[in-house]
Amino acid sequence: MKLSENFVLKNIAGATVVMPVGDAVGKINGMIKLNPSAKVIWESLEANKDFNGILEEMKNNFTDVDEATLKEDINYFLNKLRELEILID
Amino acid sequence: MKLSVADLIVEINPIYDLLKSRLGPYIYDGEREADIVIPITEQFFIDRHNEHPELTLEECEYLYTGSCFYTELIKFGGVLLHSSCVQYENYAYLFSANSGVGKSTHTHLWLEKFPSAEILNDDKPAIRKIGDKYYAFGTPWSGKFDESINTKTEIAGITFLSRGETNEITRVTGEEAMFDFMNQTVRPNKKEYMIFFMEILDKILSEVPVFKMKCNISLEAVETSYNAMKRS
Repeated sequence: MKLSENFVLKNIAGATVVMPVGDAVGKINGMIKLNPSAKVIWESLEANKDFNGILEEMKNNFTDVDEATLKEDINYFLNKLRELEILID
Repeated sequence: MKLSVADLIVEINPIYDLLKSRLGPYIYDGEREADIVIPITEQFFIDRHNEHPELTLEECEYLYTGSCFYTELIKFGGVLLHSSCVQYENYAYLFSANSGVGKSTHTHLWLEKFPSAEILNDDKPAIRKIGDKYYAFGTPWSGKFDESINTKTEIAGITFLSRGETNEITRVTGEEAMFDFMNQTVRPNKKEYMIFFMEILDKILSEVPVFKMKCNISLEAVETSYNAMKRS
C-alpha cells in the first residue's frame, strides 16, 4: 500500500486538510478534511505501515474503541482512498 | 523593467498595452535585485489566446502574469485573496466573495459613508506578513477596472460576504472560514508551493480576525461591517 505522491497533508487553523497537487488536481477538485481517525491512518500510510501497523497506531490513539470497530474504520477509509486513486496497491 | 509590488522586486517586460497601463505606480528604479522574475514570451500568450479565444492577447498577458506573480508570492509568505479591499483610518478591510455577489458594491458604499476611505485593490489584493503584522497590498492586478493603490496597510479583518435581506455579521473561527478562503485564492499546482501555501493559510486563519456576513446594499451594511471589524 502506498499513498500517491500528489497529496499534501497539513493542519490549517485546527483542521487536518489534504490538498491535491500535480496530476491529482484535475481528479479531485478541492480539498479533503480528515477526522482524527483518518488522520492517524493517513500518517501511518505515510510511514509505510501495513494494515497491522495501522491497526496498532489506531489502538494506541483510540484506546476506548474495540478492535473490530477499528478494523472496520480502517477498511472503510482505505477503500475510500482506493476509490479516489489516492492509495495505490 | 523592475516593479516594487508587495515589498518585493518583480522583473517583468510587458508586451501589450493593458498590462503596461497598470504598471506605472509600481515602477522601481532602485538597486535591489529581482525577487520574482515573470517570464514573458509572445508565443505563450498566442497559445493561451488560441485556447481561450474569448480573451484578447492583452487580456491573456494581464491574467497570466497576475497568476504567475501570485504563485511566486507564495514563496515569500504571501497570498492573493479574491476580494475588494478598502482602507480607512490606517486599516485595511477585505471583503471576499464569488464574482457577482457584491463585494465591490459593498466597499464602494464605504467610500460614501467615510469620505477619507479609499479602495486599496478592488479585486486581487495581496496579503503578506511583515514582522508580526499582516498587510494588504495594492498590486497592478486589480480586475476589470484599474482600482488599486501601491501601498501597504495593516489588515483589520477579512469578511466573507453573501447576500441577505438584513445585515448580520459573525466572527468565525479559521476552520469555519477555511473553505471560503481556499475558494477565493490561487491554489498552486506544485507540491513545494502547496506546502508553503498551506502553512501561510494556517497562520493567516489563526491570526487574522475572520468574519462571515450577510448583507444588503445600504449604508447600514457598512455600519454593521465596520463596527464588527474595526480595531479598538
